[in-house]
Amino acid sequence: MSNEKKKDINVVGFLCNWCSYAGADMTGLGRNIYPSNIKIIRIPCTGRMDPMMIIEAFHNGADGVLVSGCHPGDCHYSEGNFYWRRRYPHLKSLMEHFGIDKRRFHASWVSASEGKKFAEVVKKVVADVKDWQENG
Amino acid sequence: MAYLITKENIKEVLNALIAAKTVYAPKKDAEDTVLFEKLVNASEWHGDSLLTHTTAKDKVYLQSERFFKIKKDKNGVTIEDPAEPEEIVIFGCRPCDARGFDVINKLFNWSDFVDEYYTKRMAKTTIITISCEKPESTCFCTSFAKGSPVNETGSDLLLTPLKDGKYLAEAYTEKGEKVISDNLKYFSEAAETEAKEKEAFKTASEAKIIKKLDLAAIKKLMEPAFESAYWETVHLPCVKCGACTFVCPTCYCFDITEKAFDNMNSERVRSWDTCMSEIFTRMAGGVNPRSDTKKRFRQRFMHKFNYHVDNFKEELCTGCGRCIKACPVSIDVRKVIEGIK
Amino acid sequence: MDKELQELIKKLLTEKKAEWAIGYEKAYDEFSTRPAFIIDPADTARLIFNKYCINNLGLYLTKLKKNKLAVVCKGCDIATVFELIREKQFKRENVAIIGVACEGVLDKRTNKLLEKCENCQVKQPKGADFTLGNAKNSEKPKSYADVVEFEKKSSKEKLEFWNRQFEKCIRCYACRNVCPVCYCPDCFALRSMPEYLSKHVDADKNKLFHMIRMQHVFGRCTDCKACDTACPVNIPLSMLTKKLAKDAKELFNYESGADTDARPPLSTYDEGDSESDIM
Repeated sequence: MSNEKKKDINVVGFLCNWCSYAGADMTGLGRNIYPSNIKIIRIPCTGRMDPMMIIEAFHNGADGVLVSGCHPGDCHYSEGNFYWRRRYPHLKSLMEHFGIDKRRFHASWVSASEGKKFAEVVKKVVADVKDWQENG
Repeated sequence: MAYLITKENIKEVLNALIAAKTVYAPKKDAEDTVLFEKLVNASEWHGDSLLTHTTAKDKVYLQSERFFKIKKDKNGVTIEDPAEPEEIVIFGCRPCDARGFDVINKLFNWSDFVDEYYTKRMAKTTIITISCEKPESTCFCTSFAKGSPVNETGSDLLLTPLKDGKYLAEAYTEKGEKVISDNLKYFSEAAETEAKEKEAFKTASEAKIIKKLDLAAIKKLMEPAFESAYWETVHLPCVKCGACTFVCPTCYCFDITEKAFDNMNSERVRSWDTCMSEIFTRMAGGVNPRSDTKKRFRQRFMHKFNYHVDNFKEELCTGCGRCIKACPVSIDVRKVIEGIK
Repeated sequence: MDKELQELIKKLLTEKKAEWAIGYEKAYDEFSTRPAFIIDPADTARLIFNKYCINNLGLYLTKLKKNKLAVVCKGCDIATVFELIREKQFKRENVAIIGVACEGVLDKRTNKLLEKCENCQVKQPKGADFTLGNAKNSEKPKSYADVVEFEKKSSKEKLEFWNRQFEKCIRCYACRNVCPVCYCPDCFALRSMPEYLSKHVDADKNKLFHMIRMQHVFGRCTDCKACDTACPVNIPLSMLTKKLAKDAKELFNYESGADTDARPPLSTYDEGDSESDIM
């Protein structure tokens, strides 16, 4: 097991079926290394991302949450990620108001071919969560 | 045997109690909410408000009480019982709160059934009550047979403020006597005149409670009023929240739920429930005998002033008036039951 | 103004322009009022309006939506009615809005002017069918100073603050039930399959409830403060609803209750929306 795991950071990743989930697959295929702290949950589309599930994830002890979907304009359902793009800043702002640090909640666009980018995104998220844990 | 104690010495006694036990007393927070909270020092005690926002009921009859935890592992299934309750003191509640405990004591020890979770905790609880000097417009305790601003029912020790910042301390149970005997140096013996002073206090205080209901007559009216058209309109303002039931010193309805955390761990919990909630009577399959607000609203008043009287010969209400104050739309229990036709 | 109000409602009821009228009447003492439901035109004498009329009567419109209704609204309550019309809960022609000029209402618990009334832009109601009385709107715009102040705190301080608040919460759901836009017949909080919220009450679960509720009313909440004033343990929920109003304004330039044809921010999108924070 990697060193990351000892720190026991749990990041829940909600990845859209069509781009980011395939992108995460591509990361493995391309042998890009990324932290194993992320636990991936596949969702049909970021437009389906019920904010309740994110709140529930934090409530159940997740240190961080990442929601990742297709680039705007690439959505399999044409407009799902546009809705998510509006929901995200509002949710982030509200969570911050409730005391959930902004370093714990992230969103990204990762397409099916961007294996390398997915690895970078996860590294950044885990680093941010670690920063929050260590520096408060 | 009655004793006298000064306000300063009450704080000393309170500090002595804090050192020995967990003491809950009215405490005011930054939002001006006065609640029974655990004290670390007597100076935190806020005795100026007449009533706390919620009752002390939740210190004995917990809002969520875990009955047991179930754990499964290689060695089989283990059931973990809750820890034994600790000794607690509820300090500074009012006669109506204390009488609320007396009312639910009977319920949780009804005929051959004893609720051990409640009873065990109650046995380790000392209740110290302070008589009400300034009843508010929502108070109506004098409508009840035992209700009065100086009533001792349910209290272990009753403190009644007299002239010159002195309090008359009367113990009614062994637990109350123990509080006095343990702290005897702070108490002095009371004379006959002080007992008379208490009578005067009672008369003066009761006179401030304007509203007095004839509950026997109301009960007679209630019995045939189940199908009355009165209920059709009176419930309209009600928003069917549970504020009235959760701040009530006598409301005791609960729900028992089981929750599995994963394949290996689960628990059974009893939580307060409210008859105002639509899921209170909803059964598996979706049938709901009290499906609309009217039926639920009627149930609350019928239970308190009719059914409970049939079973226990007393109302399920102590006249504290908290439900009137807590109600977001100011529904007045007194007006509701008075208007029954 | 009481006389005028009674006459107007009597007229509406006799002329059958409304089947029901919702107004205020005196409750248990001179500092409290409660909603009154009038069906009989002869019954209007108990209607009043004063500075203790704190309830938002827009709340009852979704409950009685079958009838033709007349409802007494302060300027701020009209936003709620408009919001409900926008959500197609009832038709505009089915509700007669009686706007009453209001100099601010007092919190019955503290007897102080509500914070929302200090810089009120709608003391003189806008958009009502009938308007009674005259009041002068505040010259200063709505102030978000307290929310901005709170936002400056560290997340740890915020967490501590809310943990303390939700420790007090008794989950009576008064905040949800007095909320005019919380009219779901099957609230997530009561659903058992799947169970989002068990009946087990603790600070953590109470917070979960409030977080989800706040998120559900985003873009719909008109910041009427009904939840804040209803709370039996004085949890400052206005700190949250005000934040929602501020976010809607800042992020999406949207104000709920202002326009009955608008699309709420989260049910629409613009291809040019900002995505500065998305990796």
